[in-house]
Amino acid sequence: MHVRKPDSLAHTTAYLIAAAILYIPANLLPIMHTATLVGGEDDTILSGVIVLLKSGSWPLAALVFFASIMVPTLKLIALAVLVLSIHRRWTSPPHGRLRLYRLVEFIGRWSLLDIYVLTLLVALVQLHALATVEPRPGALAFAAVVVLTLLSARSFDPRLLWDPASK
Amino acid sequence: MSEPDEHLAQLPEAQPAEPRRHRPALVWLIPLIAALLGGWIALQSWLAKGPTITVAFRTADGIEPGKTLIRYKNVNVGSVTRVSFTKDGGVLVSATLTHDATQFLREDSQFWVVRPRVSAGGVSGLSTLFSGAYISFTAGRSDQSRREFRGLEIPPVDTEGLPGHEYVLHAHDAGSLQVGSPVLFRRVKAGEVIAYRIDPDGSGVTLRIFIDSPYERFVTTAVRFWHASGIDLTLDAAGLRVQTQSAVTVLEGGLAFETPPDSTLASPAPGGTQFELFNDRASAMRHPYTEIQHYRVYFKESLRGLSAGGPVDLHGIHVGEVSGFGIEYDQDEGIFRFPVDVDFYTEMLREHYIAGATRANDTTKAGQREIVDRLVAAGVRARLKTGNLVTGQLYIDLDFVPHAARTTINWNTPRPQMPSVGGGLNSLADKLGDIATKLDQVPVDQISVQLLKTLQELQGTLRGTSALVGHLNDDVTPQVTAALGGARQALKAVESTLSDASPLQSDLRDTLKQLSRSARTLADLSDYLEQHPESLIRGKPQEPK
Repeated sequence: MHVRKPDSLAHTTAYLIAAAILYIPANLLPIMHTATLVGGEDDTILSGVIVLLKSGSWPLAALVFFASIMVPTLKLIALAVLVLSIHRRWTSPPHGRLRLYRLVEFIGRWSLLDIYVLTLLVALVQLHALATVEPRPGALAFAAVVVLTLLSARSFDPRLLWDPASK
Repeated sequence: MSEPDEHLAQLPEAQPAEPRRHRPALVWLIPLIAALLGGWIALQSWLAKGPTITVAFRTADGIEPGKTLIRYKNVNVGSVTRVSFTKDGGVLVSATLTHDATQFLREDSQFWVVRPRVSAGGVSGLSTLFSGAYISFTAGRSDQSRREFRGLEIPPVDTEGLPGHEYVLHAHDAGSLQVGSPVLFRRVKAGEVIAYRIDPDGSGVTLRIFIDSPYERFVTTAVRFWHASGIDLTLDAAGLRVQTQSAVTVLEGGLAFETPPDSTLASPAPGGTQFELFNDRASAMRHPYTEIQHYRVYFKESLRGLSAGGPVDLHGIHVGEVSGFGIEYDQDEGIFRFPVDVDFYTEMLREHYIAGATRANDTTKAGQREIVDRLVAAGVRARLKTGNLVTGQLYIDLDFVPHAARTTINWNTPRPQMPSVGGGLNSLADKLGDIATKLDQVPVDQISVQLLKTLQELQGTLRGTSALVGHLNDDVTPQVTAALGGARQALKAVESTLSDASPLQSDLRDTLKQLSRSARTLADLSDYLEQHPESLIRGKPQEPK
């Protein structure tokens, strides 16, 4: 048992960078392909939200937007801020950042909502001739981003926040 | 305190741990992999992203940016990104294609919108009813690549990669032909019209047709194409004819082709060969006669019902055509005349020789003239005849006229005059007309008045007769009856006189008996006198006792 998480900062930074890289294709590439009688359509996360919004179900659109776009983005930013603060040895009281970290850790699990919904859709909508839903590479990238931010948050040792203060 | 010292001495001296060399942790592989993955995806999408093209259409009916797809041979190769307007009022559709579609974008690539289309020939684009329209294109063959295109409003026929040949037809007009109209060979669909355009000088229409593979070998250099569109209704001297090719061509128009049976140059035509498109089968299959004799014929009868192209028959066999007719003013005599120009095809005449017959094979001009001279000498004259009683169509019949006045053809004019006679039904009609005129001249009114008068007189006469008869009845009859009674009595007296039992009868019978007795005595006497003539002198000798 380690008193402190070994190489916490390095791990966190590495996961964070990987997540940031995959964040780009995750948002640009389509995450799913809906093929119906009326033709096929590729949807990215954002276009999915727009479709939901246009069809009038704005609460659902808000939920998906929050879970799939806001949360991962904020998480990335938050983690970046934390990692940066340690690298830069900010001396301000770490309480605020600690709260931020807690929030990130708490909220992280919810951002897999999209993948969960997609999995359900793929499993359920297999009417072959009439309609099928297939995952696209974007989904993989998105899942990777979520998992990597989770790992990043997990490998972060909040005690590091106090280090600059104690010296 | 040596022991502890010894122990102490035995203890390995604590070495300060060397600060671990800064070694990149394995965890850094993860962002590296992520970077590689991201880079690869980026590269992929960059490579897959092909050129952006623009296609100008008249309308953007059914085209939606972001949704409408570009398809090549029904494979998605891109989608419409933007629809804007062109300067000339059309719409400009911008689309991004995939990388592998670049090779098909050539100078002569054709773009069109696939929408559901229902025509008599079939239904196409049915899937677009649900999926919405999409833009399809054909790969060009040109070496020049291109990015700006002008879209077609009518889908072309994609013949690329199909076995078969393309041919070019020149026609006077396109009839009811459309792109996709069938080309029939013996009423089997052998191909279709793939394009048509009006000639640059506006003098006709050039059609491109595509004949599918097994049938292109029937397209020989001698082949004839004709419009098989709709119903060909011909009303001429031969009567009413209805010609159709197939139900589809009736509705949609179409072409047909056939090789004339007597064509000797039947080598397959290479692709791209140009042909003339005839209006109907008859004109397509008409032999291009080269040996033509032109004649002029004058008729007294009306030319109504005669038409250019009408048949000229020799004793009922088709040997020529009416090439034209009109009016001529004879300055010398000051009269109008109505010449009919006739083309006489000697080749056509030869075609009609029965198998094995001896032929007049002299094809020289002089020889041909001699034949005609002989025909005229034998009494052949031109006559207008009615080919069809219902329509009154006329044709010219060259036939042997008995007791025709002797005449010859003057060959020294550009159009020798063929002698003609009136006749046929026309002259019959004239005669009927004459009779009608004569009937018309009969003073029916006067006749009827006189007839009435006569009848009245006759009536008076009859009345007198009737009175006479009455008089006869009253006065004459009783006397006649009395006379008849006297006559009957006289007859009765005669009868009683003549009856068997009457005294006259018995007296007569007695007299006759005595007469026959006397006659017998006389016969005896004459016999005796014959044997004894001397007894006249000596008398009858005494019978010896």
